[in-house]
Amino acid sequence: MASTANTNSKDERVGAQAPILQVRNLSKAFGAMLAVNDLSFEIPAGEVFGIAGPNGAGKTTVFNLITGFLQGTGEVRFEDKNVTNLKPYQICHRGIARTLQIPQIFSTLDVFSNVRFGAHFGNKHLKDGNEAEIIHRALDFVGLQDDKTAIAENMDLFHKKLIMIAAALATQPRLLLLDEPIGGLSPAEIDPLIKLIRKINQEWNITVIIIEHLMKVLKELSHRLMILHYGEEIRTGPPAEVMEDEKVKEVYLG
Amino acid sequence: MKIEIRQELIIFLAMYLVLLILPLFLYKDAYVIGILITCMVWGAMASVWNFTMGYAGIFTFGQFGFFVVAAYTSGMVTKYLGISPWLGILIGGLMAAVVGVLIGLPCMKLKGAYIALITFALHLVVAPMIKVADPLGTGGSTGLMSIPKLSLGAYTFSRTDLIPWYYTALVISFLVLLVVYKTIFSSVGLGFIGLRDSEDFAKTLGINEYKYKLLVFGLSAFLTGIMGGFYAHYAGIISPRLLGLDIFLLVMLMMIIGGMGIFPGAFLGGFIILFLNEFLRPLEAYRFLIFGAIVIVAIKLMPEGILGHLNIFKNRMGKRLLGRAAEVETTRGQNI
Ligand SMILES: Nc1ncnc2c1ncn2[C@@H]1O[C@H](COP(=O)(O)OP(=O)(O)O)[C@@H](O)[C@H]1O
Ligand SMILES: [Mg+2]
Repeated sequence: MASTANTNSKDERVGAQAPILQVRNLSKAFGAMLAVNDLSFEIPAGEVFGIAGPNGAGKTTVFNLITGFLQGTGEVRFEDKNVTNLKPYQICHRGIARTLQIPQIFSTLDVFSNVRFGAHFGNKHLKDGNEAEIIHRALDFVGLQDDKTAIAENMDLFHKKLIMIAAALATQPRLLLLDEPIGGLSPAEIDPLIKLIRKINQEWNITVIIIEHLMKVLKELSHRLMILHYGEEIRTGPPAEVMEDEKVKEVYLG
Repeated sequence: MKIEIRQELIIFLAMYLVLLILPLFLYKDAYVIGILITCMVWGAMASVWNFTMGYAGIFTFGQFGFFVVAAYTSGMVTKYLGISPWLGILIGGLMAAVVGVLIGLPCMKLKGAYIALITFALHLVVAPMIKVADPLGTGGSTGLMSIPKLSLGAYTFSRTDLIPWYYTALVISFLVLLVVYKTIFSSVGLGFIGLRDSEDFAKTLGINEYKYKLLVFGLSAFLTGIMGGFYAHYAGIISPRLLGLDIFLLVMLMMIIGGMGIFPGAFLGGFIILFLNEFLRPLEAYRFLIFGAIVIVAIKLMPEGILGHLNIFKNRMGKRLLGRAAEVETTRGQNI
């Protein structure tokens, strides 16, 4: 792996791993508009893979295609199995979790029940009696243990994002897709979240794909970065290189 | 094992305790006993409706379709095939469940208002079907008459003594409400409520939303059907007039007044609305003007219904539900 001064804390062994996710010729049209246009990429197990690009570039659509929220053309393979066009719940059971760009939580339920939902419905490794343990592990990890009886609706944006992440972790995924997890947060909240995402990757051994606008965050977190524009890949590579790319500068960083 | 005593359970049990001893004071008053039986029937039905709409967030308007399908099924299999009414009630419930699942299927990919339309189509189509099926013995528009009464051993229930009917209604509605309560607070209920609060979030967390939605349709139709079956034998005569707008509105009022998404508000609402209905009876059709006014005032003053207004529940769902329309507006157009 090429690395910059900023990538010290990344796990450098990543590159040697077999791909956990393979996306081939993925396309999605909404009417006449191609939101995702013949996109192919591979992600080695253990990597933090960043996706950036202008608004409307098709980033969220890529997540929706991978996780079965939308049907498109092309192929998605996870852990060497074809998972194209599976339903969202099947994708989750296979080991892919995601968060949503516009935070969504179960607003009338307490924080504990929000996380329990993931453990109960999404966790295929659940054995008798370890549901509570999995929930508490996730709550502890994101730091929501003290808020577990609070009604989710009453939590602020940062904590809603933590609820989404904890619930996703309770499904025990091997791949986690984060759709703009930093968006809308104050500077004081961004740092802890970056640390959390890094720990998810390094301590929980979960491969992460992160859509993000803040280049600083992507530079710090991701091993590789892909820039999308009008549904097409402009450039993929180590963040420092990608950010120096003329075309990337023109269409995105401008 | 840790047993959690919820406020919902305490209110539910307290209500039935009152119902249990009420006949000690009222047994001579057949008129009031009769009203109380109707309260239990419609109150339980409203509670099941609230389970579907308030907790599972599925806007069904087909509950009366289920009720009537089950009532006719039970009425006809007992009248023509000589099957025991107890079994008839069960068969009626199962038939309603089948209809519920069949109506649920086209609703799987639809949302809110579209589900309301499809399920209301069921409501609208049942009456003409009963009329068309007259040659099969439905009794057409006059109705199905002389439906066999319930019996227990050698004792056959009769209209001259309503007390056995009363306690049967009590037991059956209690069981129906108990299933509703148990479901709401089980992991199945977690699934329903999650899908209601955020279907997308629920899907990312691995719930098979089709399975759960069909389960809601089937269960809600079955429980409604059980009440319908009981009603057929109690009333002795049923007709397509059960699908009229007045009783439909009354049951909807029970749910709104009692508190949407708050168990067992709708059951309590049943008593309030039906007794009010009796007081206002001299006004005949004009009483709906009063009801209309009450609804407007009630929604203004206590949008969460009576139980919600008492503010004893920590998760106040009624408010959320009423706020939902506005919320849907603001998030529309944004992708997930
Ligand atoms: N469900 C949808 N129906 C129609 N158009 C959509 C839908 N989802 C996304 N789009 C359009 O596809 C394009 C890509 O959207 P999206 O993937 O959300 O972009 P990004 O996440 O990169 O901002 C946008 O032009 C958007 O308006
Ligand atoms: Mg997006």
